[in-house]
Amino acid sequence: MHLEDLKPAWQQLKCYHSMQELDAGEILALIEDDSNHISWRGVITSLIVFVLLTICCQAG
Amino acid sequence: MDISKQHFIQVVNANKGTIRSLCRLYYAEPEDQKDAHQDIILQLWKSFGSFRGEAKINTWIYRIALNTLLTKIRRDKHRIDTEPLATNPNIEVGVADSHIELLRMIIASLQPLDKAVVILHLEGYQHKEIAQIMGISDSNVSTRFNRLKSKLKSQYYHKSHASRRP
Repeated sequence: MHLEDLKPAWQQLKCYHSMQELDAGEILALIEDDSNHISWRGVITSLIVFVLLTICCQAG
Repeated sequence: MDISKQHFIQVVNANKGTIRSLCRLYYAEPEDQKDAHQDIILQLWKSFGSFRGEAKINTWIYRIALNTLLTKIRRDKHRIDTEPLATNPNIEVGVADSHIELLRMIIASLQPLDKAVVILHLEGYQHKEIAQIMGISDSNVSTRFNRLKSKLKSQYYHKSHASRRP
């Protein structure tokens, strides 16, 4: 028994799993959700920096 | 839909067999497989913008997918079917009814990083390339690989000889 003997099996396994249809909508929802999450994080970070700068400037 | 998202979906679609196979070899439960699949898609998307085509798209997919799976396993702290090879009672030569089943059983008996090394070897990568993809040294890959080969050899040698005895 050699690992090389399993190379065709790996190709077969990939082929088998590639036959199932890909749900493009699900992938799109996933990456868009991530993009929205990132942009919200960016907005919140910017807001915090802005508030801190405003407080610092007023104090000075 | 913008072009980058469309292109990304095309890339994922062209490699869906690889991504799904990896998830199924690392996780036994459908729910875990789905989680792993989503994690891989997200990580691929996050690094898609910085992919400049220096490596083959296939190699890039393997690097992101396998490293995502290893990180997830470390994070979750629960390992599915990763008993050490020597103590796994399920590996019997006569039990495997096909090469795919045999492949699944062998991979299931390995530790996560060893699984990655074997899968990349089956994909046809050289030790140096495997080391680059997994971010480990060449000698680490060679050591792991030789250890795995001798373990498998002795395991199957003993099993097959035992089964031939009257």
